[in-house]
Amino acid sequence: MNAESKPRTLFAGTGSPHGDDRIGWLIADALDKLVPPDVEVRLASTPSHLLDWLDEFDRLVICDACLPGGPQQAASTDSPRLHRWTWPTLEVSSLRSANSHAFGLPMVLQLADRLGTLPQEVIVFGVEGERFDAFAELSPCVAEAFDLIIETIAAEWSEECNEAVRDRSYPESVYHA
Amino acid sequence: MTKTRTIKVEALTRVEGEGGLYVRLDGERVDDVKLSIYEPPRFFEAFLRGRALEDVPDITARICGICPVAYQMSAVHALEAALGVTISPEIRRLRRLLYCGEWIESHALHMHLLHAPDFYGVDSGIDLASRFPNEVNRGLRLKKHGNELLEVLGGRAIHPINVAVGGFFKAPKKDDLLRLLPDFEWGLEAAIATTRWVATLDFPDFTRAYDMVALQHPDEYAMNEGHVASTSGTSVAVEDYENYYEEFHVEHSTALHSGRTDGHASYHVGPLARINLNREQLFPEAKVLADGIDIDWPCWNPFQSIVARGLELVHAYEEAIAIIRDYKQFSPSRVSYEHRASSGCAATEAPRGLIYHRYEVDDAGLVTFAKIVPPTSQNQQQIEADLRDWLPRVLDGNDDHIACECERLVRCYDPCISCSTHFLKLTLDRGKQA
Repeated sequence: MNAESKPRTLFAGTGSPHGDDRIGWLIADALDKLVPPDVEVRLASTPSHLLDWLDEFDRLVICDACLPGGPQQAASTDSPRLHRWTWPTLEVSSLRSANSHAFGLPMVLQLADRLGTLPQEVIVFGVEGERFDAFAELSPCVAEAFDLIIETIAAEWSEECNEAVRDRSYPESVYHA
Repeated sequence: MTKTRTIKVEALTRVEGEGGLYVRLDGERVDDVKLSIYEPPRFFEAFLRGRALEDVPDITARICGICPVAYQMSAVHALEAALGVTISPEIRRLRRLLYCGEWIESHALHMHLLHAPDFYGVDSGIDLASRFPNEVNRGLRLKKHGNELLEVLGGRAIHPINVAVGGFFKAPKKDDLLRLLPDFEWGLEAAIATTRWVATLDFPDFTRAYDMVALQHPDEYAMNEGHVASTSGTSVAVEDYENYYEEFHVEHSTALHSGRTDGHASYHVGPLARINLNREQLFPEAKVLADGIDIDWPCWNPFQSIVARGLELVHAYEEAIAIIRDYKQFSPSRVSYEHRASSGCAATEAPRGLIYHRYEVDDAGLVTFAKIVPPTSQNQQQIEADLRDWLPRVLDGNDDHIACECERLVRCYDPCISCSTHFLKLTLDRGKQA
């Protein structure tokens, strides 16, 4: 991949085939044909997969399932089940994948930041799930919300996304979530 | 008057999965150690029943996001044994290449981000990256190589979909594999440097009289075929595995424990067992490295499993390079077969140790029985036994110190406890103060 063709943004759907944990993959599949050409869509089964890809991009958008009742406040988007966070934030620690593997999403993002490979802007979408049983289908409430979730995330690629990325500052508390 | 105490470590980090560890002490005596684990493969066995056998590789690959190859390939081998399928040498070599990819990815991740921090007194790979950014970056690059190889062979970055009963749906193009070679040649040198680095770590002086168990093959460093050998001298065909090793229930864990059928004695599976049993069959650079580092083989110190992983990392790079250089795209990529009512079993070597599968299928090609024995299940009893010996050496600290030391020992096994959560709750019971 040469510099001219380098996609600016990585959209990564993380998850597993188990119940609402599959939402990240389903959203990624659905978005693959909707996003502009400078956005590359990939699926990850563990957050540590992201470490393989980050140095190729300067903007990262992640979608993952999260557990309800975490520290987050009410859903921050039009969809009652969808949260949108700008990293760094303590609330990302409530994501499902943060608890699913030895190297969860907050650790991956912190490590990438420490090593200087974290894209300049990181947006995390968390979808509140209810069912995480082995090979279960989406729960009815998440399935019902699917179209609105897609619509909300797709809106990310509007004019405002082309604005200059904001300066980041990392409160120490994030690293000790 | 002695006092008893219970210590709970609520969250054991840097292991895969969910479980709990309970320790009860009576003065300086370790009264009880219980490692309780939630083990997902039990659910998958029931889920597999009634499924077409052709679906099994894809389903079993999803048991674990970290080591999908070992799960799916063990299933494929077992089903091929049931169906009487004999694969071509080309398919066999490509399967070994797939294992190389998974070993590289898994070992690089565990060594750098999960295990190495224990030897520098830091809490995580993030902290280690501050002190050793070059080493951690190197480890991440190695991990990436493994995933890239899996992607070429398996068809995608997440759970491989190109693996089939009888072979591969499609043999990879030679150019796609050759493109990996420069990175793999760099990776071999980096893996050697990594192994030299971890070999100089300050290891606790803790050796045990293990019964180490691993596959052994007359012609190669065993990955996906062989007989089940042990350092105690037994050597049995995979078909006899269940006559010598069995799972059993314990009250404190939802997961089955494993032991020898004769008295349920514990045994140890994993890279240290493999190196101890098969060191002479390592590829040349790995063998020279094993002979040159300051470890007397066989090694009975679980903390030095990180060195064993390093040696296997080197071996995996060497073998992968050799296979890629010689590779020629071949056809057919898959051997045909007929459905028949039968049963078959297989054992392969996951990064964390020996994994055993057995299936029964009917003449319509549907699975009627499935049994999966993952490596962590086999190591549970051994981990508890290790902790009983390890705890008396670390009791001079407070509960937090003791908990940390327990975690260190557990992490030597790179346990993949489950894919649902990584927290292991540890309880240390010291009873009431006297």
